Amino acid sequence: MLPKFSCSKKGVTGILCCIVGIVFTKLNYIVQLNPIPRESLYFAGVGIAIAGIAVFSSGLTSRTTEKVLVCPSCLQINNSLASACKKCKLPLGQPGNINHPRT
Amino acid sequence: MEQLINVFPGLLSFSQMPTEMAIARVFLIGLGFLILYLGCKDILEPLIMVPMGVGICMVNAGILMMPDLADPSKQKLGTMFLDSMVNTPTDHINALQVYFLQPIYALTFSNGLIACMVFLGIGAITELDFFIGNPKLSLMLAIPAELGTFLTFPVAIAMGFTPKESAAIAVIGGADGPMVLFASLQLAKNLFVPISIISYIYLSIVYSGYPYIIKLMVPKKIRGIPMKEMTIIKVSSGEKISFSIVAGTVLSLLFPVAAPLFVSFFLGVIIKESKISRFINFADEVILTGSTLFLGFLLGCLLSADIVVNPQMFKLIVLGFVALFLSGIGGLLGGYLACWLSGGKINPLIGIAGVSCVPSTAKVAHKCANAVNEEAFILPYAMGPNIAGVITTAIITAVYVTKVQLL
Repeated sequence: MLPKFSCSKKGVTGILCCIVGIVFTKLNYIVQLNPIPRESLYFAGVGIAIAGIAVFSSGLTSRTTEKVLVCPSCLQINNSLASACKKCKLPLGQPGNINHPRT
Repeated sequence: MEQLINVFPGLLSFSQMPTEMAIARVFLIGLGFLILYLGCKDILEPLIMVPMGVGICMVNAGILMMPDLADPSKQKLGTMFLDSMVNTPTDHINALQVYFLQPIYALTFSNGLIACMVFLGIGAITELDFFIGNPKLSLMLAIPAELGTFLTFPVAIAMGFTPKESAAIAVIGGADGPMVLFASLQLAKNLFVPISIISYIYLSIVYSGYPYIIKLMVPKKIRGIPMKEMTIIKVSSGEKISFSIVAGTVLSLLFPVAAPLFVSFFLGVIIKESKISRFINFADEVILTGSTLFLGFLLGCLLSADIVVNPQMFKLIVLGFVALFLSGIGGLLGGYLACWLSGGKINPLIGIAGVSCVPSTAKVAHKCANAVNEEAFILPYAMGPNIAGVITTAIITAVYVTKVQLL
């Protein structure tokens, strides 16, 4: 239970950071300041909101790791026991075999 | 001979235009063939380059004298493809009846819809697990990889471009095609065609150019640093949908002007994670495939001789190179920082994946590491900054569009 509680706390912190960031970016419409502090407030707000998104997303995961095989051709995440990619059917476990990008 | 030429209006048009334009036309027909050939051979990105090459070739061959829509009593050189310079509603209506690609251009290019459709498709094929699994490291690596996006802006201003044009050019450093389209349509419609074409050609070259920057900047021993093999943090579909809703809402609140891009990308992600197979197939195989085809073809059809002879074209070629070169260097510097902070556990090559050319740069990083050490399977780790790069490029584009519009 503890990790789940910790995660949701992080998620809430992240959302709060996002709200604070958005408020900061809009402060220049509310508070009359010189042009430079107004810009600084805007960029500080953007930074805080983006950090909030990062904190929120790190709070979403239950932090359980899983061994997987990533297809080097189509980037599909496969089970570690799989021998072929479930999407493009190419054999897995051959790190050197990379196709030219198609997307 | 003269009579024979008169039978073929395409050939006749060579004698009806200035010499430099005629030379540029011949050059572009050759360039179209070359791009088509390199695309077919997989040397350049085929999905964009094949239709673009066809477009460049055909549009420059098919020039003829035709009535001027603004004044039908006069004649001017033009094509039956499209006219990107129509402004008034009457001209639009007239153009729709003459040019066969005009409906697609008017309804998808002039309003930025094509960029949104590409983004929707990209969202539908993006694995967010790599990013959500380690968002702080991913963002930390993606921000330095925007070095070109930051530094090209003042360089372009110093080279004589307006702030709006400079911002549109600087976005090339983000290495994200739809962003470049969106920024140039919003900020510098006059440079939309050359910026987009240069950007897409450079993005195709990134795959073969970045390994040289890597070899120059990273010693062989460091390139081969192995990373903990193929273990990623499990992220459920519900969590990815929650992330998409929150991130999309916050970013749209911050940058309403770029909200169409954010909503398209996150809608694509939500479609993928909702596991509605019909929507997934539609977004991937119909929307993404169709918009990529028309994007390449229309960009090719827009590249006419008058754009090439524009003196600003050379500056754009230089600035596009500078932007992507600086972003690559910035990404590797970020990778070195992460390597140093982790005590040498992180392979610095994953930094260059912060340049958001999904998934090319991640594959380049992986390929270079793997060539030195077969145990260095860094692809899952490189995909995190790669996807974060898309988000940071979208944010920086939105900042440019929001702030530079006011200058």
